[in-house]
Amino acid sequence: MPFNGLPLDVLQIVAGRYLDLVVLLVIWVVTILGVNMLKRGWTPKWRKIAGLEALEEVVGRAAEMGKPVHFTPGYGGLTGTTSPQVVAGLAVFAELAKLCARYDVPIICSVGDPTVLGVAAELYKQAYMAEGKIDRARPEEAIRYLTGSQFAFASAVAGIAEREKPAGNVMVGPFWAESMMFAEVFYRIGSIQIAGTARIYQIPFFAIVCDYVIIGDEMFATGAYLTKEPYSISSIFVQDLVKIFALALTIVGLIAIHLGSNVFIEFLKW
Amino acid sequence: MSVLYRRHIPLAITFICGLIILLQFFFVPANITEPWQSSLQYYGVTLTNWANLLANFIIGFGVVNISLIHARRIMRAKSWVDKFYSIWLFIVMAAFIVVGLFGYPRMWWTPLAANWDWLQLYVLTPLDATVYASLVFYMASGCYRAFRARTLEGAALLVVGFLSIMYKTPLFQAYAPWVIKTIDWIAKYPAVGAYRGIQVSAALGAILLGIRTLIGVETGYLGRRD
Repeated sequence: MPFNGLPLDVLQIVAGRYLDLVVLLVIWVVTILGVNMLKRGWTPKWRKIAGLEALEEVVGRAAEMGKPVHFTPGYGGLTGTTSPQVVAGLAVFAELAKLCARYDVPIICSVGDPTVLGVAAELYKQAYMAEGKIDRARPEEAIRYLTGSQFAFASAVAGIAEREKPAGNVMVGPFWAESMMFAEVFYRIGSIQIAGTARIYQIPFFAIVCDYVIIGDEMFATGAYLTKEPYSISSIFVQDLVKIFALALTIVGLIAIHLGSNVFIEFLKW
Repeated sequence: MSVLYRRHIPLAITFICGLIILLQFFFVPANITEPWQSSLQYYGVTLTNWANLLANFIIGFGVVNISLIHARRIMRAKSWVDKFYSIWLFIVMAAFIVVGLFGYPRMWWTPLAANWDWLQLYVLTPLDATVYASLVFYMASGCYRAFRARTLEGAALLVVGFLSIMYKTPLFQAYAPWVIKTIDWIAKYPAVGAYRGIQVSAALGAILLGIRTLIGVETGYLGRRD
């Protein structure tokens, strides 16, 4: 391997993880540099994420119809590989709960993993507190742990949809086969729907049925997008920079491979 | 004190734990040779075990939550029809807890020993399979709406969707082999290209979310966004 034997070997990094560490550190440093630039008054232009802009529309519709809004982060938990998606979903829930508190719209949060239960309840209470309506908060009714079993969870959510007929449904988190079931059931009862997941096989289902879709990396930007803090805005900017860099690397790699060079592949294995 | 207790201490714990797990990933190889690698491995594994234990312990909160919701529903329901499913939930929950605690793994009361497997095999598995099978109807109705040639993109989706379905039929395999080649090409190149684009950008998004969490900007997981 041409990249072995570099002075970095002194650090005793696990073989094959040099590039991962370098990328992580570069992203970290660029994020901090971006924050410093933002503090000096520089503001990046950013496009709007239609799915997040539509949260107010969902709550407004529910307020007009006198019906609740339903939210689910799926049945993923705060431990495991899908936890970043759950955290992103909870960021959306925090904003949605705040809007619901503002317009006095009941919200139902269906949880499929007990680790999310306490966090969702706390976010719900914080939202009502921020709107000065803590006396109207009913976390014991709004935040519902259903089950940890996939299709039992799907059935339970479908049951809530049929019984309580929410005017809007927001699903942001990791979803598996139950995604199509949720989207179809809520479509049938006439809910306006916003869906977001980073699980690529479920995105087409959501794209077909839901009104707004938050795709892939847009989902991880939700927390930053909604809070609009300098650090968060900076991290979205860095995310796009790194995406451009990854695209450039792909093109360079493509050219290198077509010219018969394996250097790029070795570099990725570094 | 409140800010220290509610914000600074949890963020410090997150940063330290996250850093240990990161260091373990980058500096501990499969074949440990140095004592410091061994220590790092020990702390990393201990933290992972703590996380798993806590996650399992929290299931108790889930049981309390579900019990409160359904107990309230039973008390408020006006007719027996409204109460039925909540009462049934308590009966099934009690049955599973009793069989789970006393029946398996043949600890306290052997007559119940085989019943856990029986419940799994003859109750849960068929129910799961039934709900999973119903997915095909949801897919069919979703496809019915999606496959409409109202726009250029819709027309493209209709054509590709139709060919993808036909791909599996013996008729097309025998008389129109070009369909097989076309769908294979679509699945291998344009579809994979799009999927990889989403995968790469989602992975970068997850890394940035991780960094935001480590440096204490993303606080949603703590139950607050201040």
